Amino acid sequence: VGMSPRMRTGLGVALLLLVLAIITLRAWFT
Amino acid sequence: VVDDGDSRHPASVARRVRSHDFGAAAANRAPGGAGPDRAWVLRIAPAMLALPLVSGLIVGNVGDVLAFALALALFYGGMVLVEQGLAREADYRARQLAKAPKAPRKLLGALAVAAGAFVCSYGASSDGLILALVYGALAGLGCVLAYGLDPSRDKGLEPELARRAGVRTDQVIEAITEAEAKLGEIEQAAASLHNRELTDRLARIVAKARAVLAQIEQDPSDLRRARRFLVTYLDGTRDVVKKYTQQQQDLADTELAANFRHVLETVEQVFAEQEEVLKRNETMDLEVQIEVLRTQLEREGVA
Repeated sequence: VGMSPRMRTGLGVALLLLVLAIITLRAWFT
Repeated sequence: VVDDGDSRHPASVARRVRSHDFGAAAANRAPGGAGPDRAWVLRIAPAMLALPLVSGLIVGNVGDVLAFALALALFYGGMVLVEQGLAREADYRARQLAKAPKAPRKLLGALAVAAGAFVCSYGASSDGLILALVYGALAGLGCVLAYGLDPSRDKGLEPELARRAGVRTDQVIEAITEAEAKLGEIEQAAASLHNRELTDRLARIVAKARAVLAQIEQDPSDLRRARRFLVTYLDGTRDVVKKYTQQQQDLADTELAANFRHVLETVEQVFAEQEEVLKRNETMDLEVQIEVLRTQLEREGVA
């Protein structure tokens, strides 16, 4: 939606990494 | 009027050039090739989960370990699906004519990744259901954004071209798929040849055959003739190569090996001329070439 494919890919990759990092850290420290 | 002609001409040229490029891409496509079909984030990032998995093993927390293992399996499955989807998509893009992939692999991959994130969050940390669902949804969304969705529309012949050629899109796709399956078999058999010269020759034959296929995709008006030709030559080549690979230990430096080389020389030469022949629309030439291969296969005793 009004975003270049490159930006969309970058956003998706960043989001994936962020979520994975968060759930990993949360799982580790609980 | 002049303006119209001026603007239309370059556009049509550009279209032709572009479609030629697609044809070339199809011709150069190597099965299982490396490149943009790799989902690197999905390959590497879940490795982070190995750390809490190990610490779970050390502490002896069975529930956590199971959750991490399941999550890793789901991430892995998602990665495989996404990569398959990317490969299908590349294939779809490289073709002039293509059916949309049947299974939405990238979407299924994103769902697997979402499930992985959910399992990891819900099973291994003390996250509540809602939070786990949010993580799952975000991971799935990230996957869809990063890798896109699967192509959903069939790419068919332009109605005008199809009417002129008197063929349906699926007939063309069927003929090309059939020919490509044979090319795949030839490539597979060629890989087990111990002779560099023959391997190279077969690689050239396959490349030329792919160029012919790309040409048919663009203008399927001579599909019927071309198909008969392709069947004869690809079947002939495939059978000869397979037979040769089965006995190449015994055959080296024999007369039969020389005959095998002769047949491949003929095939290569004919494929080289093929583009021209198809363009010229001369049925006779094709019939003659089909006969040529038949007699040669018989005479050389290799088929």
